[in-house]
Amino acid sequence: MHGEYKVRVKNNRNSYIFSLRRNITLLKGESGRGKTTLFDMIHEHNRFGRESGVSISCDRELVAISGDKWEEDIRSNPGKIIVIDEDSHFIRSRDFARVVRGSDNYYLLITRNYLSELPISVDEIYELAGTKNKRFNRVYSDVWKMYDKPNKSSLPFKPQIIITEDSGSGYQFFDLIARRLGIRCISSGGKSGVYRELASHHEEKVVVIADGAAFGSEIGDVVMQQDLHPNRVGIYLPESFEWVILNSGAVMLKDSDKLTSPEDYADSVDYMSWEQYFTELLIDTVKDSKYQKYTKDKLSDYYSQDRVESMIREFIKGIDFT
Amino acid sequence: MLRVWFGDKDNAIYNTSVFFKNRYKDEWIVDDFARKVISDVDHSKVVDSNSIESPVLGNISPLQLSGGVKALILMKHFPGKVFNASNCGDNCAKWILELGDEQDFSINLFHVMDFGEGEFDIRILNDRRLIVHNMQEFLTAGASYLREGK
Repeated sequence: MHGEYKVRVKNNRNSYIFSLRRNITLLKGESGRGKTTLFDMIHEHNRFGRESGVSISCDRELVAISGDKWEEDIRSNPGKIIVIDEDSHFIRSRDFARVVRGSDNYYLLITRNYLSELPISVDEIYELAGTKNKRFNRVYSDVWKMYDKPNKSSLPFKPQIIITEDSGSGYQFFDLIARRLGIRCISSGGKSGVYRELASHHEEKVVVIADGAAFGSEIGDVVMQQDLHPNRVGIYLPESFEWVILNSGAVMLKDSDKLTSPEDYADSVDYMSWEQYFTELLIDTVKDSKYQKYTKDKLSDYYSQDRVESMIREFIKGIDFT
Repeated sequence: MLRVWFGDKDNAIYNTSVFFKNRYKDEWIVDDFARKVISDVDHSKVVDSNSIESPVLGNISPLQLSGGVKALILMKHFPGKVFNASNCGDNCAKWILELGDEQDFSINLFHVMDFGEGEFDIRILNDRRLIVHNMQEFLTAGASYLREGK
């Protein structure tokens, strides 16, 4: 399943309007704002259709799922938007992540839980705003992919330490820059190690660089650490390092739509997250070039030469690499 | 004192709404604590034990209260049980701290709840010796136990 879907769910007392554009969207926020009411309205519409008094407008069917038969229910509803409420324990399980991987569905998950198994985008985490007429508001917002809600006057952020989630090509690129600047670059060895690494350097100005397309499970705690240490933590979350390269002009992309409208191409059956999609897009774009060839594990010399490094660095407007 | 267990715990009650539906008592809805949290969290007013006036939903039954309010009421009346507090938004945090000042009870968290800028005492049950006093200490403990179980 791919594409952007506008959804409207309505009864006499509540109206919800939102759009889904990736396979996983999270809805969280304060209690008493109407999250479970949304789930209940969809559930009632599933059971009674129009007779429920709930109207749903969307190009795809919405299905509210709960209970022990969740896996069977998901597998029997391909091509639909699956909605799951916070009382469903299974969304934390590896089994659920296994079912999501490769499924022809979009998921709207109503939960605050730490979901390490799911690659959730930081841009697809919402809370409800409004009283009767409710809409989804992004919880985390950015300027130049610097999170969370940075004051533009505080940018570009000048770090003393760079922490990358990546230990492959992305880390190698930023380590190269760090060495030139005489600062340190540390790999956290994966997204779940970022908070620990960040917390152990709370005396210094640290910038975290991670794949925003899959950092949703981590961003809450990292932003909390940022709030506790004002002006000391920068958070740069591009979709992925490959997305940065593709946007920088360092390689020539034949079809720019694939970069600007990934929702039209990144099918949930093929890609668990857009991070995987952009990696494949870059690899495919440069596959015929002897010099630009890209792998995730090792950065080829092309990307570390001065001209190319400078193009990529200049695209990253939120960090002061001088 | 408030006690927190991060991650899965045997015998903890995850689906607090179902437990509430089957175990709540009428008198709990009209006591001072329930009236205050229903007003603060759900912006609603208790009319009587079976009726609550919601600005959006109209007159509702206690079963239509928010998941956060139901969990708070359960925490107050079953201090011997461990309830999933990840069903509670951050707007429930001050009420959980207030309950912790009045009685010993435990909650189960699957995320790091924001308890605000003040000082507090929370025992972290994953390491029974650890008591945290502010958000930095709580965040450090929660982030560690949720990710690594240690």
